[in-house]
Amino acid sequence: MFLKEYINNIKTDNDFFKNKSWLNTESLIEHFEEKKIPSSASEEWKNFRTTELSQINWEIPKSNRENIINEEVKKIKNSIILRNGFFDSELSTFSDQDGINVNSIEAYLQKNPDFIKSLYNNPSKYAENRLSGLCDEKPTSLLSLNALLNNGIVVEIEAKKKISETINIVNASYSNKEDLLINPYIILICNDGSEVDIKEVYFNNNCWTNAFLEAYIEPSANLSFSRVQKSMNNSIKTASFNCHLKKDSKLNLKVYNRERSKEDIRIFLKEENACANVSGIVVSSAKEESDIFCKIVHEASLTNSDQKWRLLSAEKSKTSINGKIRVNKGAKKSNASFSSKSLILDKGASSFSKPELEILEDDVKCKHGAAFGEIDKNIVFFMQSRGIKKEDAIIMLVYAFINEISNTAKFFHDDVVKEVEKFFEKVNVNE
Amino acid sequence: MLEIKNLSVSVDGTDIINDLNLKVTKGRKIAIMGPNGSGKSTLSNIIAGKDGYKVKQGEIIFNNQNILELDPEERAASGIYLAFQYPVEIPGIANSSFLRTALNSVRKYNGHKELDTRAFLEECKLVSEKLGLDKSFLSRDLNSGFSGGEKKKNEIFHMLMMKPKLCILDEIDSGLDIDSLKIIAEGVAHYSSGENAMLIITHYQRLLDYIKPDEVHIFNKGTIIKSGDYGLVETLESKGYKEFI
Repeated sequence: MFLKEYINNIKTDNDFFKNKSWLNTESLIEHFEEKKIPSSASEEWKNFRTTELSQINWEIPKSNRENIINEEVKKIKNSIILRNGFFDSELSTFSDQDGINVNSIEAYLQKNPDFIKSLYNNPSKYAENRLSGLCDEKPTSLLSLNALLNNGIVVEIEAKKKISETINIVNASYSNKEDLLINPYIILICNDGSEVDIKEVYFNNNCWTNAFLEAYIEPSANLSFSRVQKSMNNSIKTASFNCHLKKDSKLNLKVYNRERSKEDIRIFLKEENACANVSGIVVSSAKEESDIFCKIVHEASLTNSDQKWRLLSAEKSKTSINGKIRVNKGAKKSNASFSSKSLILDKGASSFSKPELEILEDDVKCKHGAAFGEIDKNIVFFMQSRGIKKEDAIIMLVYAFINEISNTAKFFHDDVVKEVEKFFEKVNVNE
Repeated sequence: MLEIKNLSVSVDGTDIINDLNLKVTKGRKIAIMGPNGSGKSTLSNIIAGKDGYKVKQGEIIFNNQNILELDPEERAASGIYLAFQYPVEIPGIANSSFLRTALNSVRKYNGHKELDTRAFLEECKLVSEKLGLDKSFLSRDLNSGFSGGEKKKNEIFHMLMMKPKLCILDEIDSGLDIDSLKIIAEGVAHYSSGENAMLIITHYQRLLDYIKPDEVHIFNKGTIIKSGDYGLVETLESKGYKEFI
C-alpha cells in the first residue's frame, strides 16, 4: 500500500485504527496533511534536503516478512530487533531478563492505561515554541506521520534495577525494491533509580527510515544511550529522539550520524538536578548532507546540560549542527554548554554550526562555542617527516579529532572506528 | 652521505636558496649559522621534502640517490630526520602511539617486520630515562601541553628512537634552559658516530660547545658565504655576522 492510499484509508475507513485506539487520529492526520513533509523554510530543516521525501510516493510495508535480514544483524547479542519497523521476537536474541520488559504499545497501555497521557497524540507536544509566542508545528510533522503508521514497542526498565549488559536495539530496514517507508516507533521507560546502557543501531537498504523514539527517565534513573547509523545503501534516515528527565535523573546520549541522515533531538529537563550530556560525531561525504538538530530545554532549577559535537565533511558534502539551549523561567542556577568543532577535508566540503541560546531566567550559566578548520599542512608535514604516509597522517588526525567524543564509551568507540574506516575506504584524502 | 649541488629554490617568485653547494660526509658534524631570515630553516625543510618550494636548479643527493622527487615520508624512511624548531602539537594522539606508528611505517618501507611491542616499550624507557623524561611523557598526547623544553627533548627522544643516518637539528637549542640544553646536547653527542652525520642549525655557541662541530658554515641570502672550523664560531660570537655580510 502506498502512502497516499494509506492516508485516504485513514480518512474514510473508521475501522482502520481499531488496534490504535489511543491515537488522536484526526488531529495527527490533519497535522501531517496541513504541514506536510518539512522543508528548508523551517529553521530546523534548512540544512537537510527533503525534496526527495516529498516527491516519491512511498510504499508502506505490511509486515516484517518482506524484509531480508543480513548476517551482521543476526550476530548481535542481547538484541531487540525491529524488522522494517516491526518488532521481531523470534529474531531478537534478547531474552526476558530480570528488570526489563518489552511490549507493544497496545499491550503496554492495557497494563498501564494512564500512560496514554504521555504518548505522542497532540502535534503541539514537540512543536517549537518561538520567542515570538508562535507555536510552530511545521518542523515536527514527521512525528505525526510516524505515529499514524506504526504500532511501536515499549521497552521498560523496572524501578531500582541496574542492567549490567548493554541492550542492543536494532533497526533493520531492508527493501529489495526502492521507495519503502519504514517507521520504527520506540518508547523507552526507565523507572525510578534504574540504570541501563542501550545501543541503537540502524541498517538501511533502499528505504526511508523515519524513526521516532520517546524516552521517559524517572527520578534518579540513569540512561546511557548511543545511536549509530551503520550501513546506508540508497537510503535516507530522519530520526527523532525525545527525552523527558525527572528529578536527579541523568541521560548520556552519544550519536554517530552520517550522510543522508538527520537527527532531531529534543531533551526536556523537567525537574531539579536533571542532567543531560550529549555528544556526537557527524560525518558526510560525496554531495550529501548529515544534519543534527539538538534542543535541550531547562524547565527546572539546578538542571545541567552539555553538548559536544565533532563534524567531519569530505568531498562536496555538508555537515551541520543546530544546537539550541532554552532556559525557561524558573530554571534558576541551571548550567548549559554547547561546543562544536568542524573539520573540513576538501575544498568543496562545508560545515554549519549554529549554537542558539534562549534564556528566559536570570542566575544561570550558559556558554557556547563553535570552531572550524582544515587539516593543518604543517602537522601533516611533521608526521610525514617521521615516516608516516600523507594519507595515513590525515586519517590519524581525523581519529584524533573524534577521539575526544568516541573514547568515552568503548562500545560506541568500537562502532565509530569501524564506521570511520568504511568512510575512508570511499573518501580519497590524498589530494 | 648528503651532497647539495648548485641548488636554487624559490617561493612565490622570490629566490630563497641561491646556487648552494654543501657536502655532508658520514661521521661529520656540520654547523650552519646565520642571521634571521638567511634561509637556514628553509634549507632544512627543503631537505626534508616540505611542499611549496620550487626547485629551479640543482640536486640533493642522499646516499647516491637524488631525493628531490621523493615524498617526505620516503626521505624519512631512507634515513633523514628533521628535528623541528617549532614541534607541532597533536591532541588526541599519544606520544608513544605516534612514535610506534612512525617507526613501523619506516620499517615497512624498508621491508622489515613490525616492532615487537615489548621491545619497543623497553627501548622507550631506556631512551627516555637517558633524556631525563618522566614516564608520563609517553602516554601524554604528542607535544600537547608540553613546555618548550619538553617539546625539544621530545624531538631528540624521537631521533634517538628512530636512529636516522642524517640528523638535521633546526634550532634545537632555542628556548631551552641551561640544564635542558646540556641534556639535549649530550643526547645528540652520544648518538653522533661514524655511522651517521649531523647538520646543526643554530644561532648560538653554547650548543656547539657541547657538540663540537667538524665544520662551520655561515649562511646568508640562501647560500654559504664563509666556511671554517670551530674557530669560526668563536669569531662570530665576538664580532657578530656583520663581519661577514
